[in-house]
Amino acid sequence: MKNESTDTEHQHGTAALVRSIDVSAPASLHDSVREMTEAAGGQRSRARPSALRPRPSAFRTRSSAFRTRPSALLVGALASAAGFIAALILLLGSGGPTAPTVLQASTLGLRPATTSAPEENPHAPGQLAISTEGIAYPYWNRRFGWQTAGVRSDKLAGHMVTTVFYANASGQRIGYSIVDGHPLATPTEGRAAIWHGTRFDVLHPSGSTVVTWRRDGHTCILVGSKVSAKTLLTLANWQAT
Amino acid sequence: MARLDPQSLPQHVDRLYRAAWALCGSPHDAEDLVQETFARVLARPRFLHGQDELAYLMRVLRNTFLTQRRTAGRRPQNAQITLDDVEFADPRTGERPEQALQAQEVFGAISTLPDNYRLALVAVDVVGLSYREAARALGTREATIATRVFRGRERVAREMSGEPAAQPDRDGTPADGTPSSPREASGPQGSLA
Repeated sequence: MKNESTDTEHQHGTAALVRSIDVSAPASLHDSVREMTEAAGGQRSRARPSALRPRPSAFRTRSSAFRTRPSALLVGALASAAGFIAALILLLGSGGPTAPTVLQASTLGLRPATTSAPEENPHAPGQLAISTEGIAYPYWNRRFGWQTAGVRSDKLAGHMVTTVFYANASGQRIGYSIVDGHPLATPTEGRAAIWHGTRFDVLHPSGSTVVTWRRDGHTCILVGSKVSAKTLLTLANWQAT
Repeated sequence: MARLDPQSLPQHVDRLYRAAWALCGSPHDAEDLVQETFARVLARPRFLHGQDELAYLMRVLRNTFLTQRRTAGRRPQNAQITLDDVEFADPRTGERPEQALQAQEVFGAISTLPDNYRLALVAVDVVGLSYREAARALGTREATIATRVFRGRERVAREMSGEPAAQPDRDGTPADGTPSSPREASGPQGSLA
């Protein structure tokens, strides 16, 4: 039978226990929030984080509602342009000796498509009629409601990266890139998930979510903004049967 | 009317992360939830309407949490795959594993509470809002918050001590936390569910 002192013990004990927990958010989350707030608050000394570009609403409203002065806008635009050019030089470094990182390659999945969307391979249900070095891209429409939205190909430090874009009914968009040649180095930041024997690495650069893993020795990258790691992991793990 | 200053938001990340963890029961989902919460807040200028910043963020966190869960419920599911099978190789707060384990245990227990109790407990004990602030953030009455926090703590204490599953509350509220009367169900802005 309960009594008043037991209730009081429960109340005080539980409250004290809950309040004593002092875990910190991961550094990647701090970085992501800091970049978002800097972008929204008009600190234009830094280039806009590339992964925030797919959130056009944030910037469309910010420019009018925060009433940033024209001079600040000009400085911001110049800084953004300089940052973008620097990133472009870094990314498209014409096959230099430095291998690209997964994070660099993942930015390609946030860019626009350059060619039309591929169809499902009629001879291989569950796969698209497009592949990189024999590795086919998945057809997710029937199973998950993600339709193909286009393709782009980029040369990245000697690697050809082909990205297929998918979009769902909610307007979310993701890019699935496969890097040809030797696999890229496994990222050391983020977290790793071992699932059915395959290692998936999850990263959160600048407000986006990146999942990378290997298929037949090739680096695969799924990236999206406003898409959870869980969604990307589910898609990445799915195999057409 | 004070406008929310985006530059002041990073100071709340740790607290919101803990709140999100207690709501979701998973540090990984918590990370997604916090990120989405800040993305929403920063999408346009926000006004505090007399609220504390933290209380305002708690309200957005709660709305984002409920929206995400509704959306997840509508999404096509792959019956063959559950992410519960995922084994994360490097758990958070690796430098303080005992804290991470305790957090997982306590937040895990909170995350099993019915929504109303969970949100009230998170707002008061995890985020640190007063009953009045929590009531405003969650759109209900102060007295309702006090009741929900009381019952939430009781259930968490039982869960942590391994006592049997909750019986119906003394006032007749079912064990799943479903409001048993119109008074419990509706605050100034209606039910949370």
